[in-house]
Amino acid sequence: MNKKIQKVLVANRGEIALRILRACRELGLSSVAVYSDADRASLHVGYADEAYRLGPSAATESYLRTDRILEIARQSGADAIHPGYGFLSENAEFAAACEQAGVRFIGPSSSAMRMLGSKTKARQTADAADLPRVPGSTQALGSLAEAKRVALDVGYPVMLKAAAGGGGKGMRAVASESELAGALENATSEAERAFGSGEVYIEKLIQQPRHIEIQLLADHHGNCVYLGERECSVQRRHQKVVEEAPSAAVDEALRRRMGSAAVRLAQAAGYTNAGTAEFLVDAERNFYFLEMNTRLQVEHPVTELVTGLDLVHLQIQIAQGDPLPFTQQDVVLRGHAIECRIYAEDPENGFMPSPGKITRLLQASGPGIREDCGIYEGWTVPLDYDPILSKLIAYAPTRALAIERMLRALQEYHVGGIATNVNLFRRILSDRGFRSAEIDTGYLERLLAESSTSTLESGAVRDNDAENAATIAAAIFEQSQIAAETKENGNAAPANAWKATGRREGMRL
Amino acid sequence: MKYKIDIDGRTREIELIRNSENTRWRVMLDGREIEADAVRVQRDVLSLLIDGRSYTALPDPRGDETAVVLGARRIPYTIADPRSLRSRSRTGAAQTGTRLVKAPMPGRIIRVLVHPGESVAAHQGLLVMEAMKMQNELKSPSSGTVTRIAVQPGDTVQPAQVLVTIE
Repeated sequence: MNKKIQKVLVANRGEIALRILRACRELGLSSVAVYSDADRASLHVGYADEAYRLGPSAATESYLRTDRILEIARQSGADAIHPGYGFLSENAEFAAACEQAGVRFIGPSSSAMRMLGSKTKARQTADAADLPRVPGSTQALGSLAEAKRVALDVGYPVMLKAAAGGGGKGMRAVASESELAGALENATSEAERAFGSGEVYIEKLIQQPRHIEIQLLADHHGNCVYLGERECSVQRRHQKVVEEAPSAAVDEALRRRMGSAAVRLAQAAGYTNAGTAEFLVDAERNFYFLEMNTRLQVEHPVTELVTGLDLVHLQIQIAQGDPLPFTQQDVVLRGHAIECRIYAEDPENGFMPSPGKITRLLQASGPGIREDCGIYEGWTVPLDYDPILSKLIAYAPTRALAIERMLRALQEYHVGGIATNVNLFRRILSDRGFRSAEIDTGYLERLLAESSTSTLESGAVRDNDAENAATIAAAIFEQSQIAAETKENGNAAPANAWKATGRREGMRL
Repeated sequence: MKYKIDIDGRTREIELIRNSENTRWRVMLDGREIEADAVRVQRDVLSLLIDGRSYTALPDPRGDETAVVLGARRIPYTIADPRSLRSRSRTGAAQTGTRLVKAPMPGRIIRVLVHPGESVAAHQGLLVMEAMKMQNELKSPSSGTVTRIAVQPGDTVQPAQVLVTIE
């Protein structure tokens, strides 16, 4: 355990792979990237010291291939594997396979993962550690009759959840017994398809809860600390959209109570490395344990900004057996951070994914802006994976300033050629409810239902000067494009004119 | 050049008149004269100064839709003027003359999909080019006959190099 890590294989792609590779470089470690055919031209491949092909584009033939990843680790001499998030990150068999192969898995042990990874198991562990949790079953439901009995016991409305779940898959809200049979069938088959396990359990549905989670770090020497909370209540279909730290609903006393509960849970499971305990918090500030994420989270940067810590550095140090270099008393939260998850999806079109070529990319910068990004201009967003493009994170002394800073950054940010959800963030961050932190897990769905057409556009006062400017710009673009084509070949008109270099070159004014 | 532009729920009539100074434009917009100073500051990005107000605009086409991004807003528009290019290509009016298909960026030719003498439809794939480690199909700008293919698979090509000639 005392041998230092020398070379890290990053078993992931996209922004998180780059995030981890950057940490490796900062720590002076060699790095190994792996990639599928769809990702040969992705940023992480070029960034790593070494890169090896996993296989075809489908995740099951590439990023989920435990055997290939371990083989590449062995051949390249990597002594540690960072799984990132998603893919194999919460797969206890993979962690166990790493342990057997003598490669350090940068995350918890397979046994801790088994105790906390499955949601039903985690609930049993939580009960043993005396954590408040949402009333419901701690076992997978065996039959519809059992589901009916448990639901009646905790009282409707209830929530059906996949034991192996995540990302909102295999979840169904059930308002009354008449809906139960259908919902159970749907949740089970969805869970089966998504996770290979149809295990489903029941929880009481907490009305209008906030989703607040505690970041944990635990070393191999018995030290475990909490790094404050993240508020992730802005969700769509149980997928987080905007995250922030700290939460406006959490004061120091509640933070300490939630933090020590999370630490108790981790210690009960013999947990090590970074992990996140998720809680629901109701209007009376009661908190209920939801589940444990046994990996680095997408939204970890907001915690990094308010604590001043680097979670990936710490993960690597913990994995090589170093003790945590600070204690709970040293953890101080300072300022406020907000993260927007920028996706290749079209909010005006039912949130359809919009893979395709990024023809133009203008990125935000300036004070207090961090971007964890996996894209570049000219890159084609593949169809095969989660369409996350980038995470934009704003940090400022106060929540109000962080919101303004993020709005400023969003104005600088432009992704051309594909639809993104950038405008949705403008709308959320301008909304009075969000600005006064009156948010719960149903907030975004309500905002979206308010008016399906963008209130940003219709509600805004007409700015005649800006409209004139837009019209003049459109005419100038049109004219320069015609000029370019006339110059080029008499009277040609390429079908996709703006993409043609010739025309861009012709836009001399 | 005069245009009719459908933008933001309105139809606007606009005429661009170039002034003697390089970046200054005199614009007639719905009968009103406006002075505009326009400079391209980065690829595709236009800096517009109108009466001291500063705007940054860039074209943001998505599929067949044209749009301009101005500050925080993306505003789709269509050019309604019959002389404009876009409406001509939309009506599918036949275009005559020699058309040159050029390499849009440096790359390598992977496959040639047509033969000399073959007639092709507009938007039909002509060849597959690999650029930035990705393969892209280059399509015919119009219907016509392939008169010359200047490259073969394996060739590396430079931007603006003529690849295919269509008559």
